[in-house]
Order: sequence, then structure tokens, then C-alpha cells
Amino acid sequence: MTPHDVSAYGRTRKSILSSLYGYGEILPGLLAMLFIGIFANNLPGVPNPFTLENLFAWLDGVVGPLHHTPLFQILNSNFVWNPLLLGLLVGNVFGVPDSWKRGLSLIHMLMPLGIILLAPHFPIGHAFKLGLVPMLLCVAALLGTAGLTLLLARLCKVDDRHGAVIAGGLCTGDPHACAILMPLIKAKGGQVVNAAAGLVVFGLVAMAAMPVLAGWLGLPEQAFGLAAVLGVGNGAQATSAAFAYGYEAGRYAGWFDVGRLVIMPAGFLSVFSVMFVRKLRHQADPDVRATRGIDRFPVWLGVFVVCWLLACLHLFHEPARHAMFVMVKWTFSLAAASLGLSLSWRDVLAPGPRGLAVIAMAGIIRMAAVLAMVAICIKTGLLPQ
Amino acid sequence: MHRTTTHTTTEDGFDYMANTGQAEKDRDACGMLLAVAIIAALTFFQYLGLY
Repeated sequence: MTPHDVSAYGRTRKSILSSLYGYGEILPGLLAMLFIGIFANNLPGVPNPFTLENLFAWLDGVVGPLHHTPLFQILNSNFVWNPLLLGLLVGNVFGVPDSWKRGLSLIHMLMPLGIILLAPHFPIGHAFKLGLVPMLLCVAALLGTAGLTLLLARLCKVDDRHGAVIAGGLCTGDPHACAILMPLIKAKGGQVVNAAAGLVVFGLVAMAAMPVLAGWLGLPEQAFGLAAVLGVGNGAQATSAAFAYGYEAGRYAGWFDVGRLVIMPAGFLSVFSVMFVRKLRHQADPDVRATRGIDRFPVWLGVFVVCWLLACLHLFHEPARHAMFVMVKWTFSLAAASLGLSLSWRDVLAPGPRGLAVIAMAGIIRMAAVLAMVAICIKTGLLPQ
Repeated sequence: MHRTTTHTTTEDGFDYMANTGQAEKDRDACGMLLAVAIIAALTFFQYLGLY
């Protein structure tokens, strides 16, 4: 009898703690996550130099930066991607012993924990220093990309869970958002990794294309810094594309990236809300799979929203905010290790190339729209020449 | 017994990536309470001048 068995769980449940396994049961899986985490990232409190993060940093030193940006950051090396890759490698080469699986199920507690702890990272007030027009463009790009991607995914008959995680990742410009949406959308792990990989690949294409297109339009460097942040991909890809356009553009991309970052929660909250309402309206439709199993708005997501609002009111200051982000690194590293171990290469490839096609179509339309919006704002004097 | 993938499912059919029903709500609640406790503790300690 296990907590996994719903009926048995209902009979044996005494409190919320009944959902957690005993220490002896979780220890092997917890150690597996821990070792993958500390060999993937330079986690605060662990003085281990033999990490994947340090290996990538050393290789960056060998290869040299690409337009002032480390290559492996362009390829999305970060505290989620590194343990995910290491977990995938360990799981597929050595397999996952049954004794690890109770401990690995801690991913389900770590995801809400990490996502809530992430909320103080988005104080929106900082971004309005950028000015009202750039912020409105950030919001328009975010919500427009989310809606467009969901629509294209539906037209291309992509599984709605896959389409939703793609929309979340593309609109926020951060493949992390795919993982954040996983428990909300009830997406499969393979769909999440497939979407994140597709976003990184398309980001490389956009990174090369955007400076060329902007050159044809003759955009000033300051404006291209904003366009790169809104139209390329992850932060490092946007910075590299902007530096490829010009030094000033690269500096401004770093400045405008705050605008994209602080409204990121609005991206994944809007995608979840759309998919949740759609599911409520089409309960009987078997093709509507996203958010299936979530009966009402999750309480923990409400807590995230409250914490985000408190962050916007500047309740959280340094160094407490930094300490919370350190905890995010720990929780997401462990959760990503568990996710990586749960997937075979076949699971990652199973969603097929349609997701990549949706990313490419939505990404190309977004690039054109962002460049057009920025050019119009310059013509009308809303942005400086 | 339904085996989805050897990566997630044990010989007994336990699938650690399956997360549904009351058990899911309870796991969410555990994560949420832990997060709130950490955020509250770190914030109050700072406001009280303890670091």
C-alpha cells in the first residue's frame, strides 16, 4: 500500500505529512538527486570544484566568448539545465534502481517549494525605471507571444500540454518556464525537455537573424537592445545578438532585460489560466489534456502570486532575497536531477518535430512584430532615435 | 499492473512521476508550507536585525 495508490492513501491518511515517505525509503533517491545536483552546479555551501558548471565555464574560457557572451550560457547552461542533462545521462547510461524511486518522488514537493521561493525574485518596480513605453512593449510581447503560440499549437494539432509549455517558455524568453509550467499543466517530462531544447535551438537561429533584420530597418543601437530582449530567446542569446549589432546595443540589452525578467510570472500564469479555463469549458473533450486533474486554482500558486505582489511592494530586501534565491537553486537542482532521471531519450524525442515547427512559426512572427513595433515607436517618437 | 516506463515505474507498479488526487494536494501543501516558513523566517530575521 503506497501513497501513490489513491484509495489506499485515503484510508491511511492522517495529515498532509502522510504524503511523504519515511526517511529510510527516500534516502537512496535523495542521495542520487543530491550527488547529481552537487556535481552539476556550484551550489552554495558545497565546495565541490568538479561540477558540470565549472567544466562549461572552463570550456567557455577555451572557446572564448561569442559577442561578449559565454557560449555555454547561450546554450542555456544554468542551474536547471545542468542537473537535468546529468540526470538524463546517468539514467540512460546506468538506469534508475527501484530503490531510488520513493526519494525521487520528492520532485512533487520540491516544485511548488522552488516556484514559491522564486517569487521574491521579480520586483516589478525596478523595471519601470526603464520607462513606460519599453515596459508596455515587454508586456505586449509577452502576452502576444503566449496567445499566438497557443493558437499555432492548436492549429498544428500539437498536444495541448506540449503547446502550453512551449508558449510559456517562448513568451517569457526563458526555457525554465517550461519546467515551472510542468506541474501546473500536467505536462509530461519528455514534452518539457523537448520544448526547452526546441526553444534553445530556435534562439540560436533568432540570435543570428535579428541583427541582420534590424540592420535592414536601420534601428538605432539602443532600440535594438530592447528588440533583442523581446524577440530572440534566453537572456544570454539576446545579449549576444545585441552585441553582434553593436556595443551600445549589447549594453542596452542588459539594461532592458530587467523588463523581461520581472514580468515573467505573468507569462506562465497567463498560459496556465488560459489552459485551465479551456479545460473547465471542455471537460468532456478527450483532446483537452492540459491541467487535467487540477479541479480548482491551486492554493500554492495563489501563495506564489501573493509573494510576487509582496515582492512588487518591496517587502523583501537583500540579503534575505539572495538567501531565498540560493534556496531556489538548491530545490530546482534537486528537482531537475529527478526529472532527468525519469526520462529516456525516447521520451524526449516522442513529441516529434511539430513542437519545433510551432516554436519556429511563433518565433518568426514574434521577431517581425517586435521589430515592427520598435520601428513604429521610433517613427512616432515614443522611443528615442 | 500498468508499466509506463522503466525509468519511473518499479517492479510493483509504483510510478514516482505519477502525482494525483489527495496525495498530490498534500505534497503541494507540504512544499507550500515549507516555502512560506523559509520566506517568513528569512524576512523576519532581517527585519529584526538578526543578520
